[in-house]
Amino acid sequence: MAWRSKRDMTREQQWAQGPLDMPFLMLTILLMTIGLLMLLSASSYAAGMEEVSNYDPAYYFKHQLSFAIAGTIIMYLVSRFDYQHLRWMSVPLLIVSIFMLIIVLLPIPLISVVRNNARRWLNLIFVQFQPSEIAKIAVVVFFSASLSKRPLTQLKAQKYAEKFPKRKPGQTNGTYLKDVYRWFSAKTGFGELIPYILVLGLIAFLLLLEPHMSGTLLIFAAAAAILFASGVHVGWFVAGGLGVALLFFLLVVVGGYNSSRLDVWQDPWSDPQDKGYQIIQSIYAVASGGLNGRGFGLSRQKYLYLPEEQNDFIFAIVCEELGFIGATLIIALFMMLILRGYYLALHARDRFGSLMVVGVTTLLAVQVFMNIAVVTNLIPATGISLPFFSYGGTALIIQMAEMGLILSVSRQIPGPKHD
Amino acid sequence: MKGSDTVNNERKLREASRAANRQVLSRSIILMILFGVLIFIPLILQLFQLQIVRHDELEEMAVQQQTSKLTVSSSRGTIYTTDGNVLAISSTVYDVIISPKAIVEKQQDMDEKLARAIEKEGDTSPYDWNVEDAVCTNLAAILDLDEGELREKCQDTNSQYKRIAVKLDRETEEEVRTFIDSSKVSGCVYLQENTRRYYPYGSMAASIIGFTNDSGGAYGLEALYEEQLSGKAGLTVTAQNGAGTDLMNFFQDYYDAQNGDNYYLTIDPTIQSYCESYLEEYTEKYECQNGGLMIVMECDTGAILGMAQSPTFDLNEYSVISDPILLEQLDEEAREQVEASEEAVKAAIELAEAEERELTEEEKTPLDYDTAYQQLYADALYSLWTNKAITETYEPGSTFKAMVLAAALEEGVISDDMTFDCSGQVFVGDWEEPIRCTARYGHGVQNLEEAVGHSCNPAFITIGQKLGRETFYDYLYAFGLMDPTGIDLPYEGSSYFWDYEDFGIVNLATASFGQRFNVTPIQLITAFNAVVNGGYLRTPYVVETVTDSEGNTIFEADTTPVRQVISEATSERCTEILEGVVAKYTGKQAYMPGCRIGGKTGTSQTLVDDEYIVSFVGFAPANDPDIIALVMFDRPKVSGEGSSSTAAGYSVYGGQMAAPVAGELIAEVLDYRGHTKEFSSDDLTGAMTAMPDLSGMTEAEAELKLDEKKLHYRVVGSGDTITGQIPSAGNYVPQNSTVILYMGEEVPTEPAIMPNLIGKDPEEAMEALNKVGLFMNATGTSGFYTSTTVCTEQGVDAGKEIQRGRTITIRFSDPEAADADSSALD
Repeated sequence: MAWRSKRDMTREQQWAQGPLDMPFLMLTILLMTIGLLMLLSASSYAAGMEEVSNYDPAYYFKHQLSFAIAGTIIMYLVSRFDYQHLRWMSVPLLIVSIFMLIIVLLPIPLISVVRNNARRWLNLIFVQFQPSEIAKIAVVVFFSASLSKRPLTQLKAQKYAEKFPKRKPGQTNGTYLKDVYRWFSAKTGFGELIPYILVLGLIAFLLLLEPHMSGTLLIFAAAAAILFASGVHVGWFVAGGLGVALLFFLLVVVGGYNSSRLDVWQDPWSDPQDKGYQIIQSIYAVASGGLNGRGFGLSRQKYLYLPEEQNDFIFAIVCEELGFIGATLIIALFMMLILRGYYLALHARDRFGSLMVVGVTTLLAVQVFMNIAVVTNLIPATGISLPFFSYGGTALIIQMAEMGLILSVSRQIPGPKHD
Repeated sequence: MKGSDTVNNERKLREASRAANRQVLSRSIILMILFGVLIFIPLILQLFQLQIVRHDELEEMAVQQQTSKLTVSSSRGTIYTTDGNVLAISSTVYDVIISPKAIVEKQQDMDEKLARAIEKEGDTSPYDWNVEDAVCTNLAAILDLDEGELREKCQDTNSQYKRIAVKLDRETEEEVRTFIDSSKVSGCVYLQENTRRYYPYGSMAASIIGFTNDSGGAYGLEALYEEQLSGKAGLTVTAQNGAGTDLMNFFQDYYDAQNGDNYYLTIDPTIQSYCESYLEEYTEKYECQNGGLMIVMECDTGAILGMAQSPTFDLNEYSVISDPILLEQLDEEAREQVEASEEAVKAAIELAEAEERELTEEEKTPLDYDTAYQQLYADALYSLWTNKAITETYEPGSTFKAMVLAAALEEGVISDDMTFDCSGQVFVGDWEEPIRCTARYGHGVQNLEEAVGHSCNPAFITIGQKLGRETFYDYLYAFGLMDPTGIDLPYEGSSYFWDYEDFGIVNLATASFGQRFNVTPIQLITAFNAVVNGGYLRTPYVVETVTDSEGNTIFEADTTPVRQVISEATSERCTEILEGVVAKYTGKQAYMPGCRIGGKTGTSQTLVDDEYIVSFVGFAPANDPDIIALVMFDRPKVSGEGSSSTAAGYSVYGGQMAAPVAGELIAEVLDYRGHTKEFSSDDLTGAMTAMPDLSGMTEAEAELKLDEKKLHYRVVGSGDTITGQIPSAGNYVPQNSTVILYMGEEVPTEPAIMPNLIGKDPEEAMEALNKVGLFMNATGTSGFYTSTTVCTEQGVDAGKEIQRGRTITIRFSDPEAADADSSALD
């Protein structure tokens, strides 16, 4: 894109050139930097002992650093991108992501990856990534774009309902069921939810086939947040919550899925050598930190005790090294970033921007919550990484891209009027 | 119309859009609060819970896994006597451990090698054997174990650690070592260090030293100073990674092992063994149903020189009863129990038949002998392990009068010119029964010395009343009788006494002669010591010094008196009076010529009729007491109901049973401690003196010589000069003896025949001995003897041939005088 003087641009283009939200940007960079340092500390011992890392203690750090640089650039580029284009891109993006979610389930040589009995990864020669990461963004964008037009669709639906002739009492012709449905959806607003339920249902179905419980939960959370923000009746969330609870009950209690995981959650010491091992090690690390922590780089649990110490459980090492004070400070930074995200949503130029930022911020918030809750054994273990901290190049890049998206929205926030 | 519709629609849409915007705004704020703040609260709380509340507990568990610990054992301190004899010492011994897992692995290895050898057609013999067979058969033989049981242990093939024998003796240990070295079973069988506590003196001072069991010191000093004796095990803590590899450069902590402290006791093995042998001898002679005990204490320090009880046990085999009398008792009791149980069952069966009721199997089975015996055996063991001298209480009886005397003299409520009239009984307060004195018809009018000497109860009731309740009570505290003495031994008991409110006039009366309340033996001797040692209450102790493992003295006994209870003058007067008790009155049987023993007898009642505790507290020398001893015999078996003597004829009184033993004990201890004897003119016979050579002298010359030596003489024959003498020159005879001078006549060369002296009074006895050329060393009486004093024991049996000129120890006793210390409250 060649440089053009401001006056040559359309009003929309000018808006897209607005200033970045500095607090959000700074918080993002700060967390990413702390995350990198903690990754170095957490991974160095194990990396020095492993063949895969070529016995280089800084192996993981170096990788992550390069991805962080790339991620920062990508974040900037995304922030320069006029997010209004995403309105039309939302449906194709959703279709592509669903396509990828199907691909990932198929045992295609060279592409499919099976890790821990789960098919979550796609191997695209140079990069491995989780299609669920794409699906998250796709769902957020699709929901935001679609629900931002809600007043119009609602108006249409209202019109449609008005056109519909009132049924006479006792009328029992062939159109009965269809009539009841139309009446029901117009009256209750259920009709407008159907496409979203279908999309979510399909994606959840595909994710649970991988299986990828935490990814499903994240997408549900983000989608629910957008639906909620866009004004869908609160009753549906109560119903949805009950529905999910029922589903869990069926899965866990009746289906026996993960029930041992629940036992271990309640008492990790019931199986200290096997299923409880990781969470016990994590608890040890967290508790060992005490108030002030052992000091940066001085974790003992990273000495091959805590599995995934550079990955899902990196926050345990953070707690051990930086103590309650350090861990709380990092949580505070996350909170500030999240609050700033919602602040930007409140001020966004349009509903689409607002809803999209709400979605992305909620994704971030829920992911941080779930990761730390798992590490501290507040909730049963599920594989979920900590944004900016956990090792994983593509995840970091996608995370940064999401931040870029929020920054892109922030650019179009109208400045204060100077009277 | 179409246009206005569109305009209308647009307006509606704008309105809806604005409404939607407002809704997005308000709902986003809700989301902001929920996801930006609320969800993080439980996280922070959980972090607080783990990192602050449960930090210590969980970090401890984390450190457990992050470190490998290597303990370095410490050796237990040694217990010595003051002069360095070892009383308790630890040595390294070995346990035998087998590893069933290693046996299986070894077998697999062996099978593989065997298969390879067969394949290569090589020598199969080194591999053609069964590991388990080799281990079990050989070990069973060496350790004298059941091979079947061993094989059973081998079945637990997951185990790497099965202890099959503990604390091997040296010989067996060598055999096992040789077996492990010579056969190829290393790894399958190994020796593991353990420690064993050894008590070189066996049963000596068992109640003081105590013993250790698997969890450390269990009784006595071993228990009290468990921590100090056991020391601190050393530790090497090394960080390790999750794979179990040591991280040497990470951190490593060393804690040196600290060996236990060494204890030097005040116990003197010689004095202790005197006590123990006397106890052993006399508890049997007196048929004591509950044994006896002795305490010997140094007056000026409170150091316990000996503390013994009977029956006792061997510290090296602390759970074995070896005392034959006790075993017999247990057997008898078990039989009695079985008999009683059989009768009870029989009665129950009859009753059940009468009532036509079925009895359960349990009700129908009488107690079997083994069960009864084992229960009794276990109870007896606990009783053996208990140090009765400090744990159990008894009624002190008349020995307590010493303290009443001291208090009254100190308070000035009595004086030497006072007289006490005793009519044999006295009524006190509103108590309906008279309190009796042992002298049924009374001691008549007595001065103070006599009243104490007679152990006159009415006199002491008067003294007690003169003291008054309050002062009496104060002195109980002052003499330390109301609190444990604080002796450095575990499980010390303390006295039972009336509360001050309940301490009425009748109780004061009985307390005045030492009855109806309980003290521990150690409390009594400690108080008694204060009476005689110048008035100082001294805490008894058994640990003289403590050194750490490098030999530095880290503790020395503090002999500062707790307080002065009575003045030195009062104390001196008390010792005079108490010396008189032994020289002239109830304590006569403790009299040893030249020893200047003072003391007080006591006969205490128990809760059971015909069961008495007889005791004597004696000290010597009376002019400057050095040692004080308590001798007590517990429940000598009387010959019948209401009888006051044992089947062997010993009267069950402190003056008759405890006093003579105490006298002998004290005399021996004094001699051992290097005191020279000090005789007085009151002694029947005096110090041993060397017979001068008188041959060729005239009678007058000889008389002069003999006078110097305080010897009398009689002449046989009618020559002018002395031709012979008994004893011959240089031999020793007691002063006051009558030597025989032969003037012209031959000294008879044939041995003398020992005459029978039993029942003779001292004068007759001396005469009878002198007649055959023997000399008398009289014990049990001084020159003050009454018509009832008779010989009860002679050092050489009657009718035995014995060389002329020898000195024979003769024991006298005065049954009437020594009986008067008994109880009086019916």
